[in-house]
Amino acid sequence: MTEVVRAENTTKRYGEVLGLNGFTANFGPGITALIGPNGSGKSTFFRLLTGQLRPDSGQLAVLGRDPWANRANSAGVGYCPEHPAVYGWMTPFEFVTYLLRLDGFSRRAAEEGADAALATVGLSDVADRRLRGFSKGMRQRVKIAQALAHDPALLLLDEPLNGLDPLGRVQLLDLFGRLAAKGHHLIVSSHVLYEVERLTEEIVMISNGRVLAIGNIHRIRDALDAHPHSIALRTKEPRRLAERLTAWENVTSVEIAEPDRLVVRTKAPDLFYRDLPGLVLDASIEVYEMSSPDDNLEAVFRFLSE
Amino acid sequence: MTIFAPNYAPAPPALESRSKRALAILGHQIQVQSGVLNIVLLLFIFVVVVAPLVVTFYLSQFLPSGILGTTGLSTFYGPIGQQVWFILLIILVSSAGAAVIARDVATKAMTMYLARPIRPIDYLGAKSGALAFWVFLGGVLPGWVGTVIVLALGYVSLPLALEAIAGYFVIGVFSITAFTGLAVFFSSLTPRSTLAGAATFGALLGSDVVMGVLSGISGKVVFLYASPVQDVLAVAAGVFGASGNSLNPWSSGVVLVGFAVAAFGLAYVRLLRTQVIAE
Repeated sequence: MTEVVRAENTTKRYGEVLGLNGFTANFGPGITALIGPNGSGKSTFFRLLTGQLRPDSGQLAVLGRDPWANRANSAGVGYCPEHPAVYGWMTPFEFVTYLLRLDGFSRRAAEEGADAALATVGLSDVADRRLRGFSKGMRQRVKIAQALAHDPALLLLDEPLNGLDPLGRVQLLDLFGRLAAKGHHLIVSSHVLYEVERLTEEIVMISNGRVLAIGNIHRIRDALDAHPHSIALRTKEPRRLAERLTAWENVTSVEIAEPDRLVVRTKAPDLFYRDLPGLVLDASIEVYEMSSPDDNLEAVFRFLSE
Repeated sequence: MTIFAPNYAPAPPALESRSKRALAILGHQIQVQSGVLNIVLLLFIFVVVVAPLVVTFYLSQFLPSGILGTTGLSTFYGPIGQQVWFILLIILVSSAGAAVIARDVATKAMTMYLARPIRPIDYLGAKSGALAFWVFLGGVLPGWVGTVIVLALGYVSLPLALEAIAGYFVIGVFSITAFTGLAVFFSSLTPRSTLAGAATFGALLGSDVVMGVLSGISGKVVFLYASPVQDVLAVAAGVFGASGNSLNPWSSGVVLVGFAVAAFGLAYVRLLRTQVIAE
């Protein structure tokens, strides 16, 4: 068994509302990103994985065991919820210590664990300050600290980068990488797609409680041959470049999006990237910037959702 | 032959039992409830229970028995029979119990509990236990302290003091279960602590007023059984042999237990559903 989490046709309803709808996916070792818009079922999935909810139908296995009615399973799972879920009157040290005691740690072991976890997320200096004065990003770190404090094999992080400053994001992305390198498995949910691209290539895309796509982001992208690939070019002579490009067989459209910016759509990006330098040289047209908006997950998600 | 270097790693910590994990919640909750308001309320309750007991037994040493009546076990009913003690106890229950569950729902902190090896029943039990501790402090301990003081001053005999202590314990058990149950139930109904506290206060005091009026209009004392306050008074009167209460103490005891079972049962069901609603 290589998968850490296995979901087979899992369905969870809230009355008439479907939280998960026949969700089937395996989450392998290392970092996997769970991508989907708000309300797509990410948090429901995490609550099912932590045994807080029971699936109405289908199978779920976390580290090889059914999470429902299996509280012992929580020793191997660390959960960072999306919502604040912290007590403002406590300090980070008190909060993490308290939650470790709920995990079954003795007071002394809990205090040692809290110290180590807060150091890991870079909060040792403010461990004795009240949480009510913390920024959203700092609270987020506290939640991550409590999730990893008991050294679980699997970390479930629900929108962990939400509210963090750019430096904090980099630090946490680095931390996630180090945790994965140490042998932890991470499932990280996000609706901000560019964040996930930096974190992992393994993704599960979810929408309306169903799996939309699963696997390697580049492989998914390659599979989308029918979807035209967009490439943006910045040049001082957009009209002249557009005239040349429209003559190409593999170019489906050319749009002058801004006075100095062209957006080209092609069904054969490889050929386009191969031939463009020759055209630029032959026509003496200066192209000073080239980017591919389609390389980000957002475009893939939009395309798959349509 | 191959020799492998031993791989020493710190042993994983031995995890504590389910009851100790629940005790951690209980201890934390008691700490959270130790605000100034609850402490002040508790001090007032001690004053209104202990002072009348001591003064009554003290004066009985000098005044003719006809003025204060015969002092004995029924004298210990005096502080309980007064409305001030009940009102203060109800405020304490409402104040300490308001946020007991509501705050965890409001802050979504409950998910932190239920993602751990904590069962909903452990959570409910520990939170209720913390509130019960406060009701014990306001409902039983003052009576015990007052009894010990009058015993120490030599106003009562040891057997009588022990009877009184047992009596306060019995009354405490009934009031703790019923009052705690109602407060926990209301706290599980809403994420707004203030609303939960107001509902507890209103239900306990409001039922007393409404049932008193209904009983007065209809002339039927059976309405009074629907008031937990009157039920506790009936049990107290029965335990201390005090006269003047028209309710059957046994029936009142059964009603109080019924209140508690229904309230805890509903709170538990509500707790399970709260997770779904919070989603």
